[in-house]
Amino acid sequence: MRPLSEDEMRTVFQKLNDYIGRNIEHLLSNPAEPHSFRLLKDRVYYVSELLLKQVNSLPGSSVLSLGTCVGKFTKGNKFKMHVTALDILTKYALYKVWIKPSSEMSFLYGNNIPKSGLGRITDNVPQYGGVVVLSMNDVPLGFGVAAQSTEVCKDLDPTANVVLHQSDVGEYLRNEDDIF
Amino acid sequence: MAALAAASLAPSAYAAPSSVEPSIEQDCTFDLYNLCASNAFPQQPPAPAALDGFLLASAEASATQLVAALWELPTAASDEGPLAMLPGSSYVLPRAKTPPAPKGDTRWEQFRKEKGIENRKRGRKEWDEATQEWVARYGKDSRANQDTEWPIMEADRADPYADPWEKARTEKKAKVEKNQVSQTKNLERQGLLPKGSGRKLQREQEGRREQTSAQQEKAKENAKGAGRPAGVPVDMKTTKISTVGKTESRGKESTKRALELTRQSTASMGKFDGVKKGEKVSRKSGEQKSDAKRSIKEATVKGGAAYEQDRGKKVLSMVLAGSAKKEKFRKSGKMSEGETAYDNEFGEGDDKGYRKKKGRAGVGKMRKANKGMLRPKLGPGGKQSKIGGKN
Repeated sequence: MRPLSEDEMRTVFQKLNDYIGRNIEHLLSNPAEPHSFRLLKDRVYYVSELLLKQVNSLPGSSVLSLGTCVGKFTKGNKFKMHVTALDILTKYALYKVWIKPSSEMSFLYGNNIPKSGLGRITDNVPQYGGVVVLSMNDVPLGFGVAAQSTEVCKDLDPTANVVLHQSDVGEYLRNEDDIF
Repeated sequence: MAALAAASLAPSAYAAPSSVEPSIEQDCTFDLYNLCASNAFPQQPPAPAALDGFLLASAEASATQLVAALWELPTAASDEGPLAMLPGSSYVLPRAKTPPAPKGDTRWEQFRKEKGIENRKRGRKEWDEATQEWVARYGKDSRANQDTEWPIMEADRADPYADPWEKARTEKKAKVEKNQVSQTKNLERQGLLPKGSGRKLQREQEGRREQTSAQQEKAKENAKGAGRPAGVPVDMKTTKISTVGKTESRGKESTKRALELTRQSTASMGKFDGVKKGEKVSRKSGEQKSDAKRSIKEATVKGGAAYEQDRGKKVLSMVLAGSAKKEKFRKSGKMSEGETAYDNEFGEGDDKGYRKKKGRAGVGKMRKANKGMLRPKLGPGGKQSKIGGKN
């Protein structure tokens, strides 16, 4: 377990930047409860300093997981966010999409969201901006990438994709083995 | 109900205990050495309400009897008055477990009995003439177990490369192992170990010996290149033997190791060496060494958290600056449209990397990804281009 190197930090922040933009600052400096990022094997964890101090007394090899898993580095050194980071994203998300109850299930099984499933969308979502997907009663369901900007969405065909699926809470069941 | 029926059948058994006076009058048996009186006569327990009184009365009666018994003992006069002379203890505490079965004879003991050999008693220590002191005859502190004989005079002349110390060690180990086997076999014969455990141990030892000899062979193989001239790699492997001669090659692992060595072999121990993008640098060489040191500082030292935060903010400002630039390009329509947001490496200082290419390549995969789009952007000639704006 170690802090991220600068390259790794940049990769992680670039990904987070799509979803929460400048709010990454709040993640970095949280005076009430200081947190930091740690790399364990290929996973990146967002860990409170308090927990970090406790973990320091353990031999590194015996730590399997700690704090909140943000995501993992792929073999090609790209960063893939995990659904476990949903809490962080929801708290600071810039762009949100609310989906109709009828298309909730489809999204939770890993499908993209078509225009017909779209309930509400934040005003100024750019194309390929990261969005957090919520149900109509504000329960976070996952996150994805906006296939089109908000303006373009208005004129879209009902079957066209609005949000490209990245991750959803259904993974807690589907990928139970390798999620953490 | 059952109790009622039984009482009507045998009324005498259920009669009030008034006929049998509590047997506190009866004599106790004493163990005067331990000042202990015990009354083994069966008692009829009274009603629960009267139990306390009954126990108190019986204890009092027993104590009276005990004191009376003490007064009957012979006495001796002392400064503090007469002292009763207590007899020896008569109380035998029973064992919790059965005693262990007697051990049978070992093989040597059997042999000794058959031959009628008497065991001679020899002392644990013997006199050492050379050092003029007593030393242990065997085991701990014995001469045999101390490496006092540092020159081995009678080395094997036939094989000058043989290691006499190694030989001595092996012989001693063999002796110990042999003894372990005979101990096990003795236990087996006495029925204390399952049948065949001695043989099993022997086989295990043989396996271990074979393994170590294989390791020695390997070490010899490794030492083979020791005589090579400087600069010629010692870790070459023979890959092919033809009429022309042997072909030797280094192999992947060995090459990696060599590369690692050269990395560390600069004046700065590799600290200032440039690293190619995606090149893996092991923990040993300079680049990583400095990183590892820093990480220790961050994790443990006071103020480490603040340092880490600053570092994070610095990187974040770079990322945000990069994304602002990207936003500018997006607005001015210079982004290539087939790209996902993640194919672009921004913040690298090279703007060309993610600008739209002219011509077919600039059109991208948009149409393919989103069939339902209203205004499909087609390349020149109306054909959909499969070549994305990849850089």
